[in-house]
Amino acid sequence: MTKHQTQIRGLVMLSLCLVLGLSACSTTAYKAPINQFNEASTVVVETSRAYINDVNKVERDKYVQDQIINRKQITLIDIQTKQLLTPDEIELRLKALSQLTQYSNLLVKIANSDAPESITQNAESLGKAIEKLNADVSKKLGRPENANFKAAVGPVTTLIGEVARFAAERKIQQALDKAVREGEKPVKKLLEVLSTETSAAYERKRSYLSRMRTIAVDAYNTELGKGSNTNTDTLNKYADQIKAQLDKWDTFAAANPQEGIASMSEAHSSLVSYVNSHKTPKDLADFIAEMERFLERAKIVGKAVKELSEL
Amino acid sequence: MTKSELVSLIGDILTEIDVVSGSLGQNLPSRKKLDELRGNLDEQQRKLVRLIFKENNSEYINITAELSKTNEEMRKSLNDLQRIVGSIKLLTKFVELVEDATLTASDLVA
Repeated sequence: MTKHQTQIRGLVMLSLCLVLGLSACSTTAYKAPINQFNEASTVVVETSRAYINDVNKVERDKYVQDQIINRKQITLIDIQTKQLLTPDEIELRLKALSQLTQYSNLLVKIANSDAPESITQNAESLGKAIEKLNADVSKKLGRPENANFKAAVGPVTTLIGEVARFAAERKIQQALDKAVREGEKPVKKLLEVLSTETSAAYERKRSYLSRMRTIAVDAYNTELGKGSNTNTDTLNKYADQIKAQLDKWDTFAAANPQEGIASMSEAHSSLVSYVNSHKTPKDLADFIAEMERFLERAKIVGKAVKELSEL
Repeated sequence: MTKSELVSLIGDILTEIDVVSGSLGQNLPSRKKLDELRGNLDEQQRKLVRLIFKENNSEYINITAELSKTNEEMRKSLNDLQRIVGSIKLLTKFVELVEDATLTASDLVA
């Protein structure tokens, strides 16, 4: 390519950049924070799913325990009456969570689309195919290759590729911006209802675990109260149960899903703010920092919920 | 006070009652009274939570519909991106086919 051709190409590229929007020139900048948003969202969604799936079990277990303590009959009708969510209601919630997961995954797919790179590679292949066609045709016709045509093929196909690449990058930018703007209201609302419900589910579990502490202590004290008839092994067993219940109680305090959902809410607001901003380097830096904070907080809650389920 | 706040407040009271109960002998009248109070409060909390869940059911239906629409738009965008990539691949394929056809034609002529 001559110097003149290089200069013209540079001017065309600059014009395209200005016309299509400078931000379209670098959609790779927020791949990492969107990936982090996705990773942390997954933890929050899974935690919420665990609480929703667990909500009826807590009521069942509590009911059975109470009936044992009070020496009362257990009936399936009573168990059903105590349930907090019907199967259909659970299904509703799990569907909504599934849509939220898909939303986050699709954001990642778009942000990480390799379309711009594929276009560049394919444009190079196109250039080579045209050059080969020109060379073969000239050879067959028994005449020398058209030097000007040959010189132009490379730059022209590169330009075609770069225009298509810009179009793809702009498409990615627009798709992300649109998805975040359109998703803002339902995601915000979903996080609000999830926050309310997981908080309520957490309180029911807290009530149950708290009661279990008292039951464990009562069992120990009842055995101790037998005086000389106290069985040491049984006493030790009850003491171990007290310790186990208190361990669960301590772990449970850190497993409040509110923290994860609150941080996801903030991260989502940050994502929306970034999309609506001028996307300056500072805007991007703030966005990245917020995603990192979100990921860290979500992991802490996720770890606590996992530890609790393993106790 | 919201329902959620009331649920949380009852939760605080229940855990306090449990701590006190655990220090009282099971057969003491005061303990029995506390257990009864605990049972009633717990049931009130359960009913409140049930109400919260019930009231939110319609929200989930709306949210699922809206998110589903946004997700569909994103899938379309991903398809559009694939089409842009595909169109250049198609052009390359076309040029290769033209080359094959030209070579074959010239061989036949020869």
